Amino acid sequence: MMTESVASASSLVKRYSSVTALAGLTVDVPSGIVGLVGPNGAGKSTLIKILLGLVDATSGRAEVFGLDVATEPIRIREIIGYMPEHDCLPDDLSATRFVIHMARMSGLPAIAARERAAETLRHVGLFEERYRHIGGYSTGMKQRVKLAQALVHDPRLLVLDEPTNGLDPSGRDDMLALIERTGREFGISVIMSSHLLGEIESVCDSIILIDEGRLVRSAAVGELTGLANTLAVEVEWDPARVVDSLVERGLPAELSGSTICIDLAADSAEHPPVTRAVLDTVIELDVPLVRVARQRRRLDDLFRLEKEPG
Amino acid sequence: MSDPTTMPSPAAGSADAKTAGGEIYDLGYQNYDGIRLGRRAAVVALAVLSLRNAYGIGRGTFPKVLAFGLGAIALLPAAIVLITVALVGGDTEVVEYAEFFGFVQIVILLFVATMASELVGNDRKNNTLTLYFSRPIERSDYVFAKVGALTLALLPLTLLPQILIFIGRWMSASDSWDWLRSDFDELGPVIASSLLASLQLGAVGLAIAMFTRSRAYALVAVLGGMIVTTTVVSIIVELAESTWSAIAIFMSPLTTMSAMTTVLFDGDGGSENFAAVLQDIPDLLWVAGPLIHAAIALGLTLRRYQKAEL
Repeated sequence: MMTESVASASSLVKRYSSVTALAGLTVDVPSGIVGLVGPNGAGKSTLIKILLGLVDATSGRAEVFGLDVATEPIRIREIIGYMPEHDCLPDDLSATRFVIHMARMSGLPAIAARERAAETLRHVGLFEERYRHIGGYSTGMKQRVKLAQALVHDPRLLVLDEPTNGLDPSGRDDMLALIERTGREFGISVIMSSHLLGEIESVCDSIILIDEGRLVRSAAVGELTGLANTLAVEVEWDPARVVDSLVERGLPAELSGSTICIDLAADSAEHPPVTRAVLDTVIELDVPLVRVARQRRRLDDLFRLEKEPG
Repeated sequence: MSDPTTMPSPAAGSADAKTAGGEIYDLGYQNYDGIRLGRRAAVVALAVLSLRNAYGIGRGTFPKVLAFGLGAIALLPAAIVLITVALVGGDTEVVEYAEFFGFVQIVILLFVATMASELVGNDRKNNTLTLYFSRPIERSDYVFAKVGALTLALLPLTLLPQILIFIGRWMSASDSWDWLRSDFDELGPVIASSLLASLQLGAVGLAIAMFTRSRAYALVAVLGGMIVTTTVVSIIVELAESTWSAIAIFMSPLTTMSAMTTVLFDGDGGSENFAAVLQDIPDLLWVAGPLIHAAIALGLTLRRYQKAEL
């Protein structure tokens, strides 16, 4: 199940008059909840729009569930639900009427459209307010309507472009929980783009890193973060002096905030001598030691590491 | 992956169709595996919503007042006929069919301009276009749905008053059976001219709204464009009777329209020169005039949407 491919791109290029948005992107999107990550302008939205057939690729191929985006966009759009990044809702219709309408635009008969709209709006957490005009909604409520219209026709794949954009921290958490539940419990594959690694890390099964229109890395989140190869050291005071001393001993130590991080590199066999050296150093400098622990690598570090060689 | 909470099965549990598959989610979400009606149904749904929007149904007060107010004004000539019939009695010819569009032209233009920008401008302004184009329809479907909706929205202003006039005259006739036998022929041109005029103004109005940013601009462009060209054409026609006059008539939507009605009702278009020019070219061409205008406008609109980057 996890290895089945939902969408794929090969040598995908998209050039606008002066900008190259995608520069030969080749990637396989697995099923499950997939995070599409990259800085602004990396080509995330362009990739999404090509998959939906909203934008034509300059060259290369892309497929969704084995359907070619260039030749079968209508069949693809039948089984895909799309939540755009920006505002896209009419302000003078009620959420109910609008979501029913979008269900009918996907070909659902009137009665089914009505039922599914009610169900979907309840799922995203809109109750009585769904009869009010969308114009009076908060950003959080609008995001929920956008998600509801993407879900109402029961797509096999949900494509969410920056779904947490513009939300406050609690709204963000709610939206992420909603996405996670939708992906896990309904068996709908999700591709969500974000420039925030933290949120991707918390809900996604796998991650696709792109930058400047190219694939940087694609892997399961666990595979990327599971490795513990940093030793984190916290001391009561003078961390900078400790770092200097560690560097003198030939250890790749650096200061990150008030934490001393020592890269254990690939060879974890070196771990005991490193710990020994840390202890020697703090004793020698007479600095109280608070904590020594191996640290899980966070996606932030990973992104930094992946980008540095380039 | 999924953790379906099975219903605490009461007596009816096993017989319940929903529990047959053994998967009931506590959220009440169910996958939809009913029929999907496809593109045509989606286009009809879009046209119906557009038609409702045009008359402000399900929206605020202002659009309703605007649409129904203009509609009421377009009904004035019919009301005059009906009142005359009621007061005076007898066979009255206060308002000729051939002259009808001349009476209500301005009202119809106002309606076209406001509705056209309402129908396409709002989708563009709110970005809803992105959502529509990510549904299983072609871009041309969107355009056809909108033109269809505006054409239908115009019928209460074009066809309905003339039908009322027809009924009024019928009621006023001394021998209604005899009158019906001799005047029934008028109904064909009434329906044909209304349909042609509605289609032409709908398509041209949308094309103009497409290139203008807001309702105010659309209003100025539609009214200005149509009235200025009409004035210029009228001057040309009055100055000289030549083949140029015939071509000039085709240049303006309103004169094309009045040429069509004049030919269909066998009138004189209110000017001897005008009537003379109409003789120069086969009637069929005059009747086809509005269709040619509609086709050109539709072509421009389709091209514009086909190229739109989302």
